[in-house]
Amino acid sequence: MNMLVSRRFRVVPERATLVNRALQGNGEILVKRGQEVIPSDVIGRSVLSAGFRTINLSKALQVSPGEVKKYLQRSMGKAIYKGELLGFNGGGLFGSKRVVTSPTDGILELFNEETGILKLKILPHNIDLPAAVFGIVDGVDHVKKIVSIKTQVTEVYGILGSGRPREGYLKVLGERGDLIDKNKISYDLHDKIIVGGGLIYDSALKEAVTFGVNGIITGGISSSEFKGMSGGKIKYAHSESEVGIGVLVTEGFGTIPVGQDIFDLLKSFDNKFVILEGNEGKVSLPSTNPGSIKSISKVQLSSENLDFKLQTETIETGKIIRVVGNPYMGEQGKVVAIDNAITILPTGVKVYMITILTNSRKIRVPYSNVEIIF
Amino acid sequence: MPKLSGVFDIFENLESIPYEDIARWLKPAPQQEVLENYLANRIIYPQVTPSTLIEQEYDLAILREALRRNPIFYKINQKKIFIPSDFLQITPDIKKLASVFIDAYSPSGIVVFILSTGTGDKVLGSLVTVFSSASDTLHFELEGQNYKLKSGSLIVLPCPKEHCHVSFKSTNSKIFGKNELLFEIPGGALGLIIDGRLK
Repeated sequence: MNMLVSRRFRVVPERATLVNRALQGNGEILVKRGQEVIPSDVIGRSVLSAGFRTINLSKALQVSPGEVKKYLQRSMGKAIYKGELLGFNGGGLFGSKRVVTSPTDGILELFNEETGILKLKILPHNIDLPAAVFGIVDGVDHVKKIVSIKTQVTEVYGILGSGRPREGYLKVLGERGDLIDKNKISYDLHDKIIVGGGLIYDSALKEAVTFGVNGIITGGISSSEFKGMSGGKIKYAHSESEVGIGVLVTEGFGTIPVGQDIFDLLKSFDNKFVILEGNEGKVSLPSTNPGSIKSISKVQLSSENLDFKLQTETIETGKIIRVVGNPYMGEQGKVVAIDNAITILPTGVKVYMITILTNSRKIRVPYSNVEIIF
Repeated sequence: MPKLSGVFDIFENLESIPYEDIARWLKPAPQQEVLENYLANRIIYPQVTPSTLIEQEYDLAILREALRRNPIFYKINQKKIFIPSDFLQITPDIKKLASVFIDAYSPSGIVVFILSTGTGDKVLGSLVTVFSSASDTLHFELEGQNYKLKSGSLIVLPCPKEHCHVSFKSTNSKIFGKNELLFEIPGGALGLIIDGRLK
């Protein structure tokens, strides 16, 4: 019997692609088309001359709004520079230590004792835009202040996502099955793309938005949370949703650990620059190998998108699969046997079972409850 | 090759079904989050076969509400309900499936059930609804066999032949406004479903 199952692309390694780097505010682009760049190269410089930034210090320091002033490390009206200590809560005997550094050069303009929010008046300062990737400048848009860099990335595809493209340094919070509540979200995660575990709670998502976290990668999410982000949609969720944070769900709904394949890869990119495209359901991990410039210089970028949509394929022994039905949802392994005889499930449904060897055990599931993964 | 499909692929609006609507078919009702996550996973993985009886009950409850919102399988003018053979992926029990369609569409009169397969249609049997009063007895004779039924129930009688002759008699309950009636119905693997539940 020809047993067809879904085939899903999860990890597409070493793909040449364009990464767009955008300059904030007015400034100039410092590179030209055809120029080779490495991550630390400054490719644009701008001056941010005005504006304010607000920080919820009560939340960041985990104290009541009325107590915040006690923990402020700089007086009101004084200047502070990016990275300098703004607030510190030692945590006492039972609490955990909370450190808040200034996200920008500024002056402590106003503090609201009822909300615990500090308003920082931004000082004029230079913003350097780093290349962040190894690559070759493919195009420069001096009007929109965008530099397109041809680079090599490993693309990781999730099941669902939300949010416009965002970038940041990846921070793995714990193990792949951890439950992420708001206590695991702290101010020092702002601008980061964080890797959660098996489930991110609603309160943690809200905290992440408050602290300016750029994105979250999670194995599972509750359907009500996801629908809140995607305008109530699940089936056609890949659209234009935007809730102030990028989200990538790698497995499905409920508590499901991030798949071993994706988690191991993300762990190897901890503290490295990544680009999360929630609405596209993917995260791109730029190569950290300087030699990748040589490889991409020989590759022509294809104008057509490769088809990474769900396909079907015949299940065979030796294939690597992930389980998409209960009770082994999210487990991965290799197919080691396919039954020749039919099994009648407790539901009365007749199926062919397959045996899968995971990292820790052998499991048997109906063949229709797996996907071949790449 | 294209994407693999499943029963729940047919329906466009599953995510908009409220928890309460699905939960009312389940005893005991699962926690809201559990059921909502289950439904969401069925939307993204429609090809999955339910492995346990609990999952099968969840699937049938979702199917009831999905059908209720999409009356595409009930051709009222033809007095026919078409059951796609794909639905047997949830349960091979055709009686169970038929009851799901009855719950969803609340059909009345005499309605024929048809199994739609890729190769053609097959008559499964028929439904007849009785307008019953409480504490009444319904007398049926089906192909020479006598049945005495209490009003207020839904039961299935065997009728494997292509056509079956039925005789009905009751004191207060009625079919097509009559206490006594002789009629013929298409039969099949399902047989004759008598819906005598109080209306």
